[in-house]
Amino acid sequence: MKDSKSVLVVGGGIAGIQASLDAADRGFKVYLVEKTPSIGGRMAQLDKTFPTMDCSICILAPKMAECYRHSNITLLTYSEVQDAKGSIGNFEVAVLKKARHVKEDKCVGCGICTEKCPVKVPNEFEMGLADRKAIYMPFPQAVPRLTTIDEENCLFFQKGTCRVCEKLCEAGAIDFDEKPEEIVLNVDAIILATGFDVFNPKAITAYGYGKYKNVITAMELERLICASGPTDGYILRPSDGKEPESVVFIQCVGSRDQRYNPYCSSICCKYAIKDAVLIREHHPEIDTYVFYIDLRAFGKGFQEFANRSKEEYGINYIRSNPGEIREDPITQDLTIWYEDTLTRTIKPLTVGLVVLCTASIPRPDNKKLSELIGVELDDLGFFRASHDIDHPVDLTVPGVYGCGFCLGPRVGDIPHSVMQAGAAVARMSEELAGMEEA
Amino acid sequence: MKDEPRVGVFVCHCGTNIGGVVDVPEVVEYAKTLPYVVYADRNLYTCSEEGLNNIRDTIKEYNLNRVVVASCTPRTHEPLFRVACQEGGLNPYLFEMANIREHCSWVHHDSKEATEKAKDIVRMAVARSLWLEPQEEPELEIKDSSLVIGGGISGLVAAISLADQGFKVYLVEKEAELGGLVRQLYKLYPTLEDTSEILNPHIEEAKNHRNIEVHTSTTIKDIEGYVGNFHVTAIKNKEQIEFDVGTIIVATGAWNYHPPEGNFQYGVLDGVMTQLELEELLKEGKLERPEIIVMIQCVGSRVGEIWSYELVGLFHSQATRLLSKILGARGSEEGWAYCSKICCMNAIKNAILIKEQFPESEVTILYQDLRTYKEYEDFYRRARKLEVRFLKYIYEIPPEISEAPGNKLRVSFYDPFAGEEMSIICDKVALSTPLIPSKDGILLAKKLKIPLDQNGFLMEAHVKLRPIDTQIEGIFLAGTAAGPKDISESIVSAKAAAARASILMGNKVIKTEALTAVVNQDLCIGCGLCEELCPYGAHIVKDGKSTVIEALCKGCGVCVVACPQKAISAKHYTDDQILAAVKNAFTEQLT
Amino acid sequence: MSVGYEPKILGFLCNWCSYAGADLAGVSRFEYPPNARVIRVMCSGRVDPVHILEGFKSGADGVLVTGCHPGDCHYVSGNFSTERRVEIMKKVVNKIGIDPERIRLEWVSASEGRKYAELVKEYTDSIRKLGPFPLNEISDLLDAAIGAFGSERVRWLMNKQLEEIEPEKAENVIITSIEREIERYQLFQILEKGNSTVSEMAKQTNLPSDVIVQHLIALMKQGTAAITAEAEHEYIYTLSR
Ligand SMILES: Cc1cc2nc3c(=O)[nH]c(=O)nc-3n(C[C@H](O)[C@H](O)[C@H](O)COP(=O)(O)OP(=O)(O)OC[C@H]3O[C@@H](n4cnc5c(N)ncnc54)[C@H](O)[C@@H]3O)c2cc1C
Ligand SMILES: Cc1cc2nc3c(=O)[nH]c(=O)nc-3n(C[C@H](O)[C@H](O)[C@H](O)COP(=O)(O)OP(=O)(O)OC[C@H]3O[C@@H](n4cnc5c(N)ncnc54)[C@H](O)[C@@H]3O)c2cc1C
Ligand code: SF4
Ligand code: SF4
Ligand code: SF4
Ligand code: SF4
Ligand code: SF4
Ligand code: FES
Repeated sequence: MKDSKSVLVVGGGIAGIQASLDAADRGFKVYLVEKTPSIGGRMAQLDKTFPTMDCSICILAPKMAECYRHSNITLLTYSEVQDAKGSIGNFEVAVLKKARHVKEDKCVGCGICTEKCPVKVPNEFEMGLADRKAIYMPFPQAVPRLTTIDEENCLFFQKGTCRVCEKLCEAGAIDFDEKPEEIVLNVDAIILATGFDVFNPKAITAYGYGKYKNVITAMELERLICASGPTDGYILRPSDGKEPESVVFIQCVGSRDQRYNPYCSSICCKYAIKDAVLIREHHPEIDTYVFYIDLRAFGKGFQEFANRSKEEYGINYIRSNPGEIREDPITQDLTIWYEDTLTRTIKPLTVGLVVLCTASIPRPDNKKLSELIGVELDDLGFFRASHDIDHPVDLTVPGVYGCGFCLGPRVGDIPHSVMQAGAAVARMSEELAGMEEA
Repeated sequence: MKDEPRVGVFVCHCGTNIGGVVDVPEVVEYAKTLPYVVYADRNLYTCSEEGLNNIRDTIKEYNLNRVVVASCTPRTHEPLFRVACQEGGLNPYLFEMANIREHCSWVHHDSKEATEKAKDIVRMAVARSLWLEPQEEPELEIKDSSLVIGGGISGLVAAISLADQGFKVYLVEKEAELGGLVRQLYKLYPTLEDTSEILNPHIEEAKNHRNIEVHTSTTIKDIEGYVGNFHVTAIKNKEQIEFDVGTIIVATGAWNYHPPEGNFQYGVLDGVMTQLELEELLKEGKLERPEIIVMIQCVGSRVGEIWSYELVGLFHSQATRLLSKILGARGSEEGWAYCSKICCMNAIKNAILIKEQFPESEVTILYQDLRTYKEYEDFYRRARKLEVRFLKYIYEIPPEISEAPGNKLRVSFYDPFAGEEMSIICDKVALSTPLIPSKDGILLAKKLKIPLDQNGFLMEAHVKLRPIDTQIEGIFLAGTAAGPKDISESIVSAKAAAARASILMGNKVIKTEALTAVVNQDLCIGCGLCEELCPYGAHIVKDGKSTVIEALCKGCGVCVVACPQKAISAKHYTDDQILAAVKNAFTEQLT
Repeated sequence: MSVGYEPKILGFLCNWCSYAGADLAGVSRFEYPPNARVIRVMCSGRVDPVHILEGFKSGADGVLVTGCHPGDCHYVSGNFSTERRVEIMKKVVNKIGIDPERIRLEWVSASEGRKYAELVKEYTDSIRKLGPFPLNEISDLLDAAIGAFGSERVRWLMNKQLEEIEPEKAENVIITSIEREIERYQLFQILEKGNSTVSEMAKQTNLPSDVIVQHLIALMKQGTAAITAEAEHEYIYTLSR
């Protein structure tokens, strides 16, 4: 291969990180574009990962650091693709680097500014279960390790006052005058790895999400159960900060449902089993139920894990159709009326906390990227593979590949995302080598 | 200590992060009193360009041969300072960090206590630094050729990918034909294309590719060597062939389980067959008229055995047991605990094919959970539209099959929805059986020292983040050899295996871990304990002496602590280095 | 220096999980007592029993070994080796008068900053209750133990999987063997200082005479010890060169 081919990777979740590392090790010059201030994606938010239950950030953080240090990788965080033209071997991509107002070469990541900033905003990383400041580090292991001022909430940008962070920062890293910068990149290929969004269950009014405090999503639970999360890993109800006596997981919320998303998200049964086991590990006294349609514990090690969750951890699985959830106004406990589909009877169950295992849905970003780059989306809004069996990571424009959850819930888990990343790099190397020969 | 140590200590204020709690000037003064310290000073930010320059210049000016930086955590900053040392002309391993931020100023509020602790931490680091030795990252040449074992879809795809990237590939298949299990299939889910449309182009491409040497009817006899340079001996039609490769991809696939005779009346009653056998009938056009067909899911899979996934042992003790299980599985009642994940889709595929050919046929699928994950959900709907019947049975009461009048079969089962016993009179029963580990896979794993998982599939180096690598450097996994997958997933894994192998070969030379174990051959008595314990197969005992293959060792140190003769030491973590820190943890014992 | 007694804790932290956990405690500013001094090793599997005992000799009142949770070890199985070694060690040191609580093995992951902080706090308190390490009282025994844990026999026993024997039995065999080895080292140390007799050795070690005789026979067989002379109904033993 001619030296120094280059590739643009869009999205810095585990799929994008792995694709960047594989490509960089293969000798490509890599530009990794991530729209949020840090790489890491969803995996950084998870507590443990199924089925071997290793701690998510423990295994991810070294990879993030490697991305940062790799001499072949240029990290463009807080950046987005603005424009793209050209074709395989010669794409021209414009990337907008948003103004962070914190100088990358000065900030030492000490966080003094974040302590004193007067503005509190819900913390996205903690799924809104805790607050962050207008100047913030997304999470302790963030890469790059520096803070960002969010203009929309900063008093200076909104009202022209404050500048507290500037006064406190000893490294002189704050720069209110910084302007967004457009960078034009010439690359041989593009890998898309924009991941997934979480379905907002407010749409399903019967479950009362957003109305009842003790109805939460699984992504929120991941933060609640994480030792470095807002409750230090204790399962405490949002309504009163008390430990619930029982928890129920509701599966297929917004998945396998013609009204919302017809497909199966592939991962929620597995993470529900995981989270249920984690709850019992942390608090053996909490009764734990899983309401499911089919328990989809497929793939290496999962059925075994599901069996163990029943026999060793005493998780109760109930094949059912949940109807509506009602809140007791005094105790804020929740009563779920459900149809037990094995006995065809309607029954109530009262619990302290309800966890909705919501669908994983396409990011709205996919649409914009598909328009800019010309790749097709499938009917669901994920990137369409050029052939379902034979070319699972090729997108419909030559030289553009996909990996991770943005290809749809193909298997949807971390190992498969990592494999897809490798596959995308292999395809890219093959095609570019082929062009060279021709 | 060969040359007289000359230590330079750089203490960082980190703004007020350290300086706000720890009395930095006091720590500097203390450092100056320590033996062999010829320079000590402080910086506002040691990691800034200014601070790094200071390190580079001071090394030269004071002729330092050890550098200690007291600042933050080595986990993020050690690489940066090491580079600075190197630029100052010092071997980067003659550098040591004292973490007085994360482990001190950030967690203690009492300034006096924190300062005392910081001094102790600096003293420990200086003590350790005296024993440090320069290290080199050894380079290893990687041959730019690869061996792919197994010529199923995964092996084909991996071989073609590498060949397209310009690498020489030896593709070894033990059967006379390429194509593996897929060759036996009729049409493929989810697109319902003819198998030949997908498979044949790959076979032709592999056969005609100028970078691929295909060896069918060939088995692997022996593989010696390690990453970069494996020497392979194979037997092709009774003749021995040999070649050298830099990397290996294992794509030995999986077997399809056959129920033991009599189980579900398999092999006893005509008309009871596996899905694969039903598919062969369809392929050959032997289903001639509408029939009533019942399919039973999870035959031989999801058998309620509990395994602890976390405790997958290294495979010494397991291989034999698993082998007998696999061979026995063709003739015993024992099944497999896992879900094979392809059989639900496969049953639906065959049901659709039958209904589309003969809409009047009646197809019923008896399942436990229907696992049509991802967009396969559409496939399930399509079958329901075609009036394929889906009924549930429960694990505790498996369906029973018996003869019925008129050459028919009766399937009786408990329908939990109806809450009662049901029976269906039918012409054929198809059993959906799982993909199971193959004997060849296990035997090969043994040869290559690749650990197996609890079921007997080849085990990945890390289930989540290294699903393609094996614990043995330079050997990768593709396809169902590592566990059940459908074709598109197999292709993804095969491409990924090609990518991982191409990284090694494309770089031609790799730098390997500098911090490995080394054996003092004079002390070693060849007891073999290290070989037994090393998770990476890095110790090789030959002629009564053990040697560490540097390319394989990751430097964990497990063997070092075990060696009865204390013949092994860990570079950069020698006993002297660790004990220097231990002895100086509370009092000064620097000499 | 201070009024009360402040325990000294020596910590061994594996690089991949526990050191990262301790870093997170820092990043999260979880305060904990300043009593611990820590040493970073790549894997908890690198921690040698001798390092732990040398820790006591150097002034530690308690030694904390931390590694990745089972299944999470960066090197696959290093922490299983550690667990086995520490478990055996605790049982052995108990018999020579060191409270087993003075050696503690815990799993701390990179996300468990809080756990690390609490662990240091709790362990410091627990060692505070135990009081200072009785270094003066058992210094000879400690030296013997350091010798024994560094010996060929003990290292073999601690690390070899004894497949032929049931696990529980195997552990008993190992522990008794290590105890014997320590006794032997005690005698060895006495002889190192000068020639001695069985009754003198019995006085110094509190071991029964017959046990001492047994060890001496073994040492003589190895060629380590020999009889040099006879004195009032007793032999005088010496180290052979
Ligand atoms: C509750 C829950 C629990 C889970 N538990 C597990 C588990 O235990 N084990 C397991 O294997 N899997 C688990 N998963 C699945 C796992 O999270 C996914 O497989 C994985 O995160 C997918 O990674 P990704 O990189 O494809 O996507 P993401 O993690 O979503 O990353 C995508 C990245 O791209 C960025 N991005 C998006 N659009 C743009 C754009 N236009 N420009 C630039 N950047 C962009 C995003 O900011 C993000 O950083 C779980 C999922 C959920 C919801
Ligand atoms: C009944 C059934 C129906 C299926 N239907 C579909 C479908 O419709 N769609 C779909 O996507 N998937 C389907 N699958 C799954 C599909 O068969 C697998 O994904 C695919 O076979 C995996 O290919 P592979 O190359 O990894 O393994 P294999 O196909 O098993 O190939 C392995 C090859 O390696 C060779 N080999 C083994 N050991 C050695 C050795 N030591 N030396 C040399 N050669 C060796 C074998 O002879 C074989 O040729 C089905 C599976 C079954 C059982
Ligand atoms: S200027 Fe903005 S970011 Fe800085 S402290 Fe004030 S509100 Fe926070
Ligand atoms: S994985 Fe389970 S919960 Fe998620 S959509 Fe599929 S069946 Fe429903
Ligand atoms: S894929 Fe379906 S039939 Fe196969 S084991 Fe899993 S649940 Fe059973
Ligand atoms: S354990 Fe030590 S003595 Fe035994 S073979 Fe290995 S290096 Fe040699
Ligand atoms: S240090 Fe670890 S990886 Fe290296 S040889 Fe020893 S046991 Fe194997
Ligand atoms: S790396 Fe943490 S215990 Fe082995």
